[in-house]
Amino acid sequence: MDEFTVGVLSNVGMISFLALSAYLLLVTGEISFGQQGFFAIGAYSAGIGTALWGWPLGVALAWGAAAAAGAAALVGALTLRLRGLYFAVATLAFAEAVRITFELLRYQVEIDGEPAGPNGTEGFRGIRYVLEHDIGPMQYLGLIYGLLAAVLALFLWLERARIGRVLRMIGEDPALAAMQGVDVARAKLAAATAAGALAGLGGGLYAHLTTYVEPRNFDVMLGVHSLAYGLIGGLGTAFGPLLGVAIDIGLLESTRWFSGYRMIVFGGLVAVLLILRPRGLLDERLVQRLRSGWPFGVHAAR
Amino acid sequence: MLRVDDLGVHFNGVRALDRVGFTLAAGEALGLIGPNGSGKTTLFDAICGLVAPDSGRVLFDGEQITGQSAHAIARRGIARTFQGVRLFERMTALENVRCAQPGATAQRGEAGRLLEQVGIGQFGGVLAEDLPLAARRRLELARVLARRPRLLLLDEPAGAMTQAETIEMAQLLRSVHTGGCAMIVVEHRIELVAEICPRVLALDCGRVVADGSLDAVLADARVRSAYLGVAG
Repeated sequence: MDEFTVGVLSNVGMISFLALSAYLLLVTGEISFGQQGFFAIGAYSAGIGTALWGWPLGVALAWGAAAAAGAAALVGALTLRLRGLYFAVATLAFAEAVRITFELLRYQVEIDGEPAGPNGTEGFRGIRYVLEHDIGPMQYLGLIYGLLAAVLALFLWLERARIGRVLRMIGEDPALAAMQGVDVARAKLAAATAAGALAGLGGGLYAHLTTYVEPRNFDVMLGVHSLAYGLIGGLGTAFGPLLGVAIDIGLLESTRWFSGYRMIVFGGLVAVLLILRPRGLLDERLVQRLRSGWPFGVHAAR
Repeated sequence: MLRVDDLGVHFNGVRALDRVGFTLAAGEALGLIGPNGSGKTTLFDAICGLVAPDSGRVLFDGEQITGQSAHAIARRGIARTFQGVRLFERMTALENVRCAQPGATAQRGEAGRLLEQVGIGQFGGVLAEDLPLAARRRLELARVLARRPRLLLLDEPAGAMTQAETIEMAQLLRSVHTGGCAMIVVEHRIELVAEICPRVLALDCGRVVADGSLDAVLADARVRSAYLGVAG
């Protein structure tokens, strides 16, 4: 596989964590414009873990996910009582606060005679664990997709388990879900925390692939994209946001067909799909048809 | 089993419930009648924890449930249906029932049997939003039965149904009641109330105006005036 393809696939894999993070909240009926904040926390935390504290990659990635999950739990506890637009704005404000905090954060340690660590707007250089341990691009790609496969397997299990139904119930009608004995606030907080952990894990992988991160990597457009992936790909299954990522990064960003027009095409695609298929390409109806063996399944008309 | 004491609910200065009080014994079926806007659905909302009362209290099995969250009240064994059928529209009929099954040990087979019991077994794999109205009402009933409730609050279970469908629904509810489940039934169709409920409570302008047998309540002057539009 050539270097370009490995790079594109690595990007698709890493951003998929962020897309799944936003999707998890969309399923519960919440629109977050702030998942890039948790992606940033994961990137910085995991980067600090390996580059400054000398931790193994696995431990640092887990630490990045845990730090992001902790932040998500805190933000969730404060904001999940807000509804609709108010929640969306609150998450956006949080992500911007995180970005500005990293612009102010200076935590540098001298390693091999050179300063390393976050240096405000200059960014965080020297996250060299992958290079120093001779982890090749293909090996790192394997790590990304191994973790992604594990996360996806967890999502597919969730979709068939009661907890998956609980999240969808809350997304459709929180009051009706409560009438089924569901503690809505608790379930939403759990989903927000898990979504934070996912974004944090993706951020940790991103930091170690690029070896350098800076606050502007985590601006609002990253959040908008992560949200749009679920809306494009579909909210009926966890494969939906992955399809959205594949369409955007795999097709629009990485090919020359839409060179210079990517954002126009992407924005137009979101607008058209929101009108024609408001729940995305792989929406609940299509997923149900596929599960019941469509076109051979039996369906009733109202 | 259920005791409602002096329950009061106001919405923006409008008195929706005014010192409503009654009791319901275990296994009893109570009809709740009254004109539109008399407070029937608000009473259900207050019992279920969807609306916080301004005054009074609700006791279930001797314990006060007023002020408890809706999910905590549901877990005690109170389930309800809605006047406008409320389902999880993007889920199949079977998934809707499984959503209501308590605990992690929810059985797919049991959910299927409940759909059979209410007569829509053939619709298990169909999205709720694709079901015809009568099937939607039956699905809502299957969903509340899946909660294994001890008290059922049914808000117009035969609303917008044909005569034949109403008769079938009455038979279904009777069989549920025979199984020992207490219920309060809001219904405008007196024949359905008569089929299931030996006792009827009438509300008007948020107040209890009559409580007794169906014949006695319908003969009450205040009920005839408020509900049937008949003077004296």
